Parts: sequence; structure tokens; C-alpha cells
Amino acid sequence: MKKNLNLSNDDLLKIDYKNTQILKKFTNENGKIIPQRVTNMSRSLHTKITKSIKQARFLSLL
Amino acid sequence: MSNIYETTMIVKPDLSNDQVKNLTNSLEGFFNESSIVIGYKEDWGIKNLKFSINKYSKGSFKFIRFKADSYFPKKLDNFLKFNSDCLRFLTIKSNNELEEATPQINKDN
Repeated sequence: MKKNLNLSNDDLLKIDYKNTQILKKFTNENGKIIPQRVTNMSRSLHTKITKSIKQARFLSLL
Repeated sequence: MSNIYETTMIVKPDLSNDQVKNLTNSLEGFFNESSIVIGYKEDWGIKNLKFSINKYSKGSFKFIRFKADSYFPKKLDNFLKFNSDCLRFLTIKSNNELEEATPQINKDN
């Protein structure tokens, strides 16, 4: 099932390890990354998201 | 070629004022040695960590952004690695402009 995240284009451009509010939408309640087929993101955006989630985990922000 | 880099550090939360001053002075001294100016500084305050690092459950976050040649971040990482007050750090190439505020600054906790 596809998920509706209610994100604007402006939000998607701001994806970064510091912007934890947006990154939280791409994780489930256990903190796992939601797969690309569910969020319906492009390949290039999804790699950006996973990279920044892992950077935020390293700094224990997420 | 020079790029914009940014570093986030987690510093021990129980440091005294003198120790914090010492740390910032030594960091500025290290930047001055290579004649590089720190473009932007931010203090995110003391936050709860999501998991403990070296038996610390809280950490004080510091953020800097600077313009430097590509040899410098490796040197900076080496400097922070042997600094006992710094728990963890991350240096990456920045996508933002030099003096752009981060979304963490107006967040509490």
C-alpha cells in the first residue's frame, strides 16, 4: 500500500541530517527506514534520505 | 579548489566554563594555523542522546561551517579524534550556504 506523507516540494529539497522533523516521516515506529515502494520516492531522493537518516543516527539525533 | 564544509560535534555535557573556553580556543588556534576562518557557528545546547555514548546520556551539540581546501577536513578529523572532550563528530560537504541557519537552532530539548 502506498503511503501519503503530505510533503511539499520545498521540504524534499531541504532533506538533510539536521532536519529531523522531515526524516522522522520516513521511519516507522521502530525507527526503521520505510521502503521506497511504500513512500513512492524516486531513486535519487531515496538514496539521499537513507544517507541522511544514517548520518542522523550516527549523531544520535534520530 | 575550496568547498564549504560543516562539522557537528558532541561535547561532554559536564564540562566547566573554563574547559569549554579552552576547547573553543584550541579549535580556533587550529583553524588559525591553516589561516582558515570559521564562517558560521551555532550552539544547539544540551540534548538528550537517543542512545548512550561512552556512558553519557546527554551531550552538548556544537556546529560550525567553514570554507576550506579539500585537505583540511581530514586534518580537522584527526585533531578532534585525539581530543578527549569531544565524544563524536561528523564532517561533511555542505549543501547550504555559508551563513544559513539550521533547523535545529529553534528547537528545544
